[in-house]
Formats: sequence, C-alpha cells, structure tokens
Amino acid sequence: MNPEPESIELPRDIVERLERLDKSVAVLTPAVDRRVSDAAAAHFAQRPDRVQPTSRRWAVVGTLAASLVAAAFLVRIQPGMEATMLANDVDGSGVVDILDAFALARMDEAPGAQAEIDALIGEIVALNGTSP
Amino acid sequence: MSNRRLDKLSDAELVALCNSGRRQDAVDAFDSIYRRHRDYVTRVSLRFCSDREIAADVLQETFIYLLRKFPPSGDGLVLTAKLRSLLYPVARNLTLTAVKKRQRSEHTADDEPDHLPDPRTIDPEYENLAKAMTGLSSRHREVLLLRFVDGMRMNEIAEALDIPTGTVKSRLHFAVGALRNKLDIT
Repeated sequence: MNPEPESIELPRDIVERLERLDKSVAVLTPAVDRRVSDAAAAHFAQRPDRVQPTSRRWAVVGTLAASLVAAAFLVRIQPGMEATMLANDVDGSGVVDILDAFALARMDEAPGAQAEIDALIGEIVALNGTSP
Repeated sequence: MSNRRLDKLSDAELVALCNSGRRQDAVDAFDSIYRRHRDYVTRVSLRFCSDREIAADVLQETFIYLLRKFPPSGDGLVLTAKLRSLLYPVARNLTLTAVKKRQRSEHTADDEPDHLPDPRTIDPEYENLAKAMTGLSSRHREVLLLRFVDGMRMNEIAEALDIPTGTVKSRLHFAVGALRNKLDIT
C-alpha cells in the first residue's frame, strides 16, 4: 500500500495519545455478555449438529484435500518434521479438525502446490463417484 | 473447541465457522467474534454518546444483528471487507438512533450528542487533545478516529461510512489540518 500523503498524516505521538484517549473508557458488560451468549446458543440450536450445507460440502472436501497435499509437501521439504504433521494435526492441539485445515490453508503458499492440490481434489471427487 | 484455538483464527475463518460449522463450533466461533470485537463496538458507541447504558444496549443489538446474518441453515454472511467495517456503521447508527430516542423522550433541544467524554473528566495529559477533538466537526472527528485509532484504510472507511473514497480523503485532509491548527502543530 502506498504511504498516505503527508497532509493526511499525524505525528506518531498524537496518534498514540488519540488511541489511549479512545481506549481510556472501560465498560464492563457481563449482563450483555451473557445475553449475547444465550442468544447465540438459541440461534444456532436450530442448526443440525452434523450436517453441512450442500454448497459447502465440496469446499470442505477441497480444504481437507488441500490439507493432505500441503502436509505431504511440507513433510517432503522438511524430512525432520514431527509425526503429528503426518496426521494433519497442524496446530498441535491433539485433535484433527477444521481448525487444522484453516491453519494449513494459511501455510499453503508454496509455488507448485496448487497443481498438486487440484490433482488430489480431482482424485477424491472421482473416488466419491462424481465428476469434478 | 477451546477459546485459545479459536482466538488464533482470522475473522473470516470464524465467520466461515458461524456460516457452516457444526452447532457447537458455530456457537463458539460467534462467542470468539463477540469477545474479539466487544470493546471496539462499545468504544464506537461511546464516540457518539456519553451514556454507558446506551452503549451497553448498542453492544447487544449490534451482535444480535450480526447473529441474524448467520441463518441456521448455513451460508449466510459473506465477508468482503474487515468485520469492523461492517460493525462500525451498525454500532454508530444504533447509537445515534438511541440518542435521538432518548432526547425525544426527555424533551431536550440538543441537536448533536456528545461525541467524547467531557474533557473535564479526562486525565490532564490528554486534556488538550480531547478539547481539540471536541472542537472538530463530528464528520472530521469520525474520519480521524477511523483512520488513526481504528487503523482503517481509505477504502475501508469509505465502506464503513458508505461514502466515496475521494470524500474520505478530502475529509481526512481537512480534519488533520484542523487538528494540527488546534494543537499548534506545524
């Protein structure tokens, strides 16, 4: 991003004081916290616990396929990598779930990886009995 | 999912979980979004009024509004900009509406709500700055805070205020000039 013209910049010390001034008002909102939390629980209670919307299923398949390929790719370039990587527990939480796919997606910037990801997605889709 | 793990996710990833995650994951993700942006929404409200009761109501209504963007069936909100660009106008407009409602019910004649805490109650270190900010027009004050405190880019401010980017630049140019004058900065 290009730097802003000087005419619309402020000295750093003024900006820091503005930030502190804006953040100087603390408001504790335990009652609101509770009500929002209750509202969220009630709202999402209507959602099935396991079913993914149809339009998202392929995105999830793609993400998981991408995570497999990226894991293999990373292991290949770094042979000493921990065994947890092989199990796709990217964030080391001990659980393999959607958060690991997010973590891998963030890591997956290596050149050439996209072609491998696309190929594996194609294989997974074919195994599933549907054309990509 | 633990809060610690969710806190590592970006807003876009949390929104994706709210959209199509399993029931408990969606609840946890929404809770994480709320905790992440709660103070920001409260501060935005307090920029337009000095009433903490209104700010608390606005906080709740803002997140209930956001919650409704995630239909139970999934596939709801599509995040095209920073989440704060979405939350800002909601909190701002809810605050202004609440202030107007209160003014009507109290039969007061003020046209414009307080935008910052009374300078007399502020730490002396910030007194000059607070007075200078209070002396600016509400539009100038708003773009200054969005740019320098919230760290928004020009296009994000434009989206949050629903005005052209050129207008943002122009307002910001004049706002910075006015603040520099008031603070005697060359």
